[in-house]
Amino acid sequence: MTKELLLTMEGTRGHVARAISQAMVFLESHALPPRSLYQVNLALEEILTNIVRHGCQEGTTNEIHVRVELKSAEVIIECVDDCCEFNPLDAAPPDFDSPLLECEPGGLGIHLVKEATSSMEYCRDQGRNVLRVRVDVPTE
Amino acid sequence: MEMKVVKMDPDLTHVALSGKLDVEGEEQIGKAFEDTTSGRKKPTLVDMSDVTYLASLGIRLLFTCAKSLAETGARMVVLNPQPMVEETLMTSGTVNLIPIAHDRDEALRLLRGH
Repeated sequence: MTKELLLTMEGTRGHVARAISQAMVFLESHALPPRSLYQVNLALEEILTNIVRHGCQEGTTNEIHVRVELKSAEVIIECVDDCCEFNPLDAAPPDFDSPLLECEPGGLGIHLVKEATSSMEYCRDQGRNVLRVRVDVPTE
Repeated sequence: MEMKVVKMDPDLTHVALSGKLDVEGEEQIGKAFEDTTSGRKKPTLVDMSDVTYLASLGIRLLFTCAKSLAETGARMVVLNPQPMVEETLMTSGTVNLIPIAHDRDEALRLLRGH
């Protein structure tokens, strides 16, 4: 049985927190295990924060459509935005192997999404970025 | 997110964080955390046993302060993170730069460089 939450939000920081809260309430109401909730929370926060910080343009009202679909063994998160083109799969990972004084934390958010999810797919469709990730839900 | 100053003496800064270190959490305590940790330039112990969630902005805050401390020869150590938070610190590679300790004695040893 599939359950789904659809949200449309403005590309601003305040709306990110609200969207995450709504998604968590939805998933908690379906008794998602704590570990999966944490991973979905993290993936959604990093994706939406990235879109708002790097994709949305000042002075423009950008729109982000979020779909959270709960299936029996996974949660699918899909984010569609009308911001400038950006493929997170092309982002370089953070460099934390160098000595501390030489490191820079860029790329960390996307790296966390990759670690929290089982797959990540991106496409550019009719002027919109479409990002879809999956979070595994252990079945008992 | 809340920050409590546990100890500030000539040899150590010890702070305790509680709550979610996400976008909002970083906004709530970021300035105070920077002032208290990298601002004091002392070896710094960050108790994260009551931090329930850690996102990249939170890691960035820890990293920025740890890097600033390193420029003065001081270290930062994270104490007793919860399992999912520790996993985030490990998988992000942050642990390569900011060691994790599971008790105070171990943390103090790491701060002294042992």
